[in-house]
Amino acid sequence: MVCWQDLEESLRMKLSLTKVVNGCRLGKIKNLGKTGDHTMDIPGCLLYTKTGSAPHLTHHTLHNIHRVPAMAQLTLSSLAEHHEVLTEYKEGVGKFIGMPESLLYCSLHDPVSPCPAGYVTNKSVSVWSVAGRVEMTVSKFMAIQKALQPDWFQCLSDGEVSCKEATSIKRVRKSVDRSLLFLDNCLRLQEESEVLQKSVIIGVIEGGDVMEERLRSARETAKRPVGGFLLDGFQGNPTTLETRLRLLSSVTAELPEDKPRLISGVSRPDEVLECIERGVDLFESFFPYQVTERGCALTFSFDYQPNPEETLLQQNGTQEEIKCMDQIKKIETTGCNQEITSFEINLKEKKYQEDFNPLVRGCSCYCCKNHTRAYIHHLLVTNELLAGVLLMMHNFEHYFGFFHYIREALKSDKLAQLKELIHRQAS
Amino acid sequence: MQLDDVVSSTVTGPRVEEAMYRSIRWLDRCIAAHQRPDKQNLFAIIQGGLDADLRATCLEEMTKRDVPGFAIGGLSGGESKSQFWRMVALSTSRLPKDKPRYLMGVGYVVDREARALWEVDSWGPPTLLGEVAFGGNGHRSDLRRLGRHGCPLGAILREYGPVWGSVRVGRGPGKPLRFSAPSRHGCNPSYATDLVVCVALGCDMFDCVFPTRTARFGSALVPTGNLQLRKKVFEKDFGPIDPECTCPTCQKHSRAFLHALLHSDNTAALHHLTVHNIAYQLQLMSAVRTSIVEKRFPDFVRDFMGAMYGDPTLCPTWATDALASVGITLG
Repeated sequence: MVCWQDLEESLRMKLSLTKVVNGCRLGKIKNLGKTGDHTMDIPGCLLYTKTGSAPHLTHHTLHNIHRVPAMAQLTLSSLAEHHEVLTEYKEGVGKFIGMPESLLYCSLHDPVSPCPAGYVTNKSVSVWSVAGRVEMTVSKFMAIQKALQPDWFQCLSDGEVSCKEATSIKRVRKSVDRSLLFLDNCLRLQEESEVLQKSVIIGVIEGGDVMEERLRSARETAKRPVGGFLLDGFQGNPTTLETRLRLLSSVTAELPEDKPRLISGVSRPDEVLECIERGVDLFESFFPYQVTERGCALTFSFDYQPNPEETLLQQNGTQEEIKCMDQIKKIETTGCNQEITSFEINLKEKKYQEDFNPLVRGCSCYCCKNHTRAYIHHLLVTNELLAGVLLMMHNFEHYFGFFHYIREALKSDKLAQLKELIHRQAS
Repeated sequence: MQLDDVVSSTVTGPRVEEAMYRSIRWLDRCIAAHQRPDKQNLFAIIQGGLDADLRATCLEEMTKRDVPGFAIGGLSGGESKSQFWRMVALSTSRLPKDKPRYLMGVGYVVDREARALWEVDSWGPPTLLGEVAFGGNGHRSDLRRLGRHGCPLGAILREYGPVWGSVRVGRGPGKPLRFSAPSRHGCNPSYATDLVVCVALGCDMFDCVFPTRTARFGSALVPTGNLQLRKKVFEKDFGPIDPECTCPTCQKHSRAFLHALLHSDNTAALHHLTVHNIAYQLQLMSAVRTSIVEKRFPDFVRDFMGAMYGDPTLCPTWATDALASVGITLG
């Protein structure tokens, strides 16, 4: 006799850990998606999109990139305003954006654009789109998710604590209470809808910088039947993350091992490794996008056991880069004031005018196989759109390659070497 | 292409003649200086503006030189279509039949009345906010000064000509710069018509920024003209740009999605439309060639005009006249 519940259980996703090394979890999530036949590797990242499309890239160019993650991240801030259209469309956002074969995770906010504070109430959360503010109560939020039909979605939550500085403990407590209330209400609405049951709700861990509240949020959220957890409020700059790493370890210790842990707003290579060591499984891939927007290319090395000649060449290269990084440059980019990191080179610099090397020697991406640094420099100087396309292709491929090497390092117990290599390159 | 001295087709007077003779002299100097004639083809460019006598002189002289191909230059500026086609026809009638004829710049419309309002962010492409009626003085010095803040004013000035009008400057980093410019790129329904008519007149090759530029403005080319996909009417249109088109954009995406993407800051929208518009153009020219090979080009022209204007007899007068001059009648 077949029991429906058993069938349903078997269709649901399964996280199996291959090994746990120094707090790092290596494994796979199986039975993903509506058809239940997708798999994701962890640790891993999600494909960053803007309004349902990888930045600068058409479907065709995206598919020229190797190792594109199985799951893409959509943001409500870019899609909420299209609620009506998607409702009329009926077939879900995956098909609408031309990615029917991809797994989809819908987050509340865009990790690149900071959220203005002061807009969360006991009954609603607001996201900011091009058209302006979109206010969502629980029912409106779930109605939107019903129209989107993503595989996973971040539950409505109060994440404002991370937007402000020096928040009172009262406000922190409220963020935990509100998020739990939103979660319970969303779960209730999910129970009443067959469509919504096909999506997995990701519970959001809040609690600011208060250990007690973080633990409370983790324990309470873990009691609910969520499919995974989003660790919210750890975004910021490298210094703020450092102070929060202890909180992070304590939080993940409270979470069940068989459910995935995502983190929002953390994407830099050094930060990624720190978080993996503290039990995080999935990351957003907006960092390569930010690098692209400032006209830069990722060049950091993640090959922790290259041949000796390569090591020597890379060492010489790294020293040169470090000399140039003595003065940190501030580049004004669209919407944010980001500093150039030591993981990248700035192709706008005059010194690349006649540099006929690829962006990264040995890189297998379309840009490095077909073009030179000099050409990218030229495209940037003449403000050609192609600069963004080629840089995005390279930066995504480089970043996805990095994650592949993280998994390889964990498999062969070489994480310490990889960590040392990355740390050496972080300024 | 040779180095030529080209003046705007709206210029009259002795400057036109000067440019024509200078172009001939420079052609000779190019031929003399050309060191790789076996590897690179040097084309002459016929000048003479809109003056039939000057153009005829230029044709007579340049065809005396043994070049592998000829370009028809000095047109597609601000001249009327009536003058335009007559100069094209004159040129093709006097150029050798066994060498390629390349019409430089087709389908470019200058609309002096409308002005375009632009916005530009960082190093990205300028966004066309809309067409506005403008008058008034410019603050050109403001724009030059603002150009140092890193926005691509140089590129804009090169592409769109002098930029003037009232300017609103955002405060703080990352705020967009707004300015208006003469609307040199209109929405030109006659772009494809220009191509078809000029093929009828005897041109072989064409170039134009129009299809890719209009794509970057959110306009998709279709057999009936174009679709301004940013408009609200396409918000819930779930069909492709053109159901007959085989390009990747039409295979995978709907007008509704492209509409939404065009209203975001993701440049992917521009690339989708660029791919489609190029495909449209390639498909059009392929259809033209097939109809010529199959000896039914006049029928093709009639069908084309029917699709574009509703009825072949409704196509613009200049096009009817041009086609009639080579024996193609519409309706």
